[in-house]
Amino acid sequence: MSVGAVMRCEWRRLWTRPLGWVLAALTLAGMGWEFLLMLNQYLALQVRLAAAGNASGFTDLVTLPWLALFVIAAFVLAPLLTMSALAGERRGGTLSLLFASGLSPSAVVLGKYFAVLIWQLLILLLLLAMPVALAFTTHPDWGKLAAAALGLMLALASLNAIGMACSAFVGHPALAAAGAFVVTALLVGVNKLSLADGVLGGIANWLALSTHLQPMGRGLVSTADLLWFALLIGVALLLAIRRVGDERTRG
Amino acid sequence: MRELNLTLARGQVLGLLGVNGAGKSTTLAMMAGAQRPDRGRVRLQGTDLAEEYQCARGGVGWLPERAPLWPELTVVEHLDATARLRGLRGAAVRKRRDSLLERLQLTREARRLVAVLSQGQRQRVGLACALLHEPPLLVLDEPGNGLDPLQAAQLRELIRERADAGSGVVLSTHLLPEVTAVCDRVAILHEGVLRHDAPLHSGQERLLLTLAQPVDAARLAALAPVVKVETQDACRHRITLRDGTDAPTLARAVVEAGMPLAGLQPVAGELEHAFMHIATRTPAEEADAA
Repeated sequence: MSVGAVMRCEWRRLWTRPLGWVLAALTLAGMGWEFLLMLNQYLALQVRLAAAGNASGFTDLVTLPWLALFVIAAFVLAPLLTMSALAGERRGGTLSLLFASGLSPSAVVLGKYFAVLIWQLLILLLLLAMPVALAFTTHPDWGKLAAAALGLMLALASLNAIGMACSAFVGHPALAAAGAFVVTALLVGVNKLSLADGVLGGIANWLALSTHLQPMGRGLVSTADLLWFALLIGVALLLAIRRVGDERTRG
Repeated sequence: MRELNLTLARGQVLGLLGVNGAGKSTTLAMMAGAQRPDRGRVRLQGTDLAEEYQCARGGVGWLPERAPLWPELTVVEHLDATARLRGLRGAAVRKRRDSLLERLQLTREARRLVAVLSQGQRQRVGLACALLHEPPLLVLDEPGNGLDPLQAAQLRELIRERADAGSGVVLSTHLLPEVTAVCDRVAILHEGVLRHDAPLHSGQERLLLTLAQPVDAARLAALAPVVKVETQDACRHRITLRDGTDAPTLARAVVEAGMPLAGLQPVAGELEHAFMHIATRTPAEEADAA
């Protein structure tokens, strides 16, 4: 109930702010252009692919590599859309209004989190409509497509949770965005360490975002990967909730 | 904040005074449930706000200093969002919202974005948000900021109405006349410590009456609104008014009695003296006095 009220308020604010629309428009335009380019290349190769007996199809050669590009867009989308969620409220003095409305810190954080997440999931949904629209002329591999979509949803959920945590800990939205970029870059960059031998390599491999996202991009969904995402989202949101709760005491 | 112990009864209006940095806004934020005291308790109708913070939801209406609002929302959206955040919905809330917009002269601004409103209009939107759920405790931090004299008078009327309806009201302001006009009790904070907490004296108002010609004090004392006359010189007299009467009543009585009225102004009262005394005392002087 409280989460819903906060989410509705945040959603309305996102709706009226140009930032959300600009980011959505840029993402859709960029991804749409890439989709057309990749589709064009696929069409040019189609005759040769048809001649090969066991060649990859539209899903493997166009949809999945194209969806993988969305992760790069998500690295930008999530920090920019979450940066104001708590840091902006604190800066504008409206966070205390939420406290005075008798809302719990978890209702404040989760309401805002779901609002920005739903905004980005809608962008993803619009993107998925592009390959799905070609389902009548191609033979999509629905299983792989669903696994890739799930992976992207979880990646968005994780990046937004990280963004919320950064927004909860700093006083300025720009710092929150920068913090979220850094944490995201670490989650990606830690993959380089996975080449190291021994325990360090193992830990780095487990920590890296790509370790858990890439299998889903290939249509493989494992419980271990789902747990990794759940853990990341849970820890980030818990940190944000704790920090917002402390805000009430520290003022 | 230290050693702060305040109790507010229903229907009472408490004026909270203090110099900048005295701790007024912090105190009000704690009363509103926006901040949690690290020691001590804030109880609303017996419920501890820190433990049961949900009771702030319907129990407290808070107007913070400079009325922080969401600039992306229109006035109506802001009020609707405030109602939803407090768990209110339905036709009764919309009716209450519309009547508040009309009462606070915001009907024309109802569909405008909060970002483009003037300070006074923002202040009135903040006040509407605080009053929307008819809370039993109304906490107002500098509510007169940005209001013109007419709006300030309407605000005083509104505060009195809420008090008459049974709400407790805490009002923080730097304007002493605002306190004397609307409050039943006054508390003065200084350096985070409560230095004064007492009822305001009776509604008797003191005025400095200036006449164009000398008039005998006995003639003035015989006027109906006058309780006491202290003569300063032949043409200037300090007048203490009877309860329930005001400056215009005295002015009318003076003119009707054929006396040449030249000026009438409020006299700095005991409250101002008390405030100045507390605010200008050093801690060493305070310790000596104790």
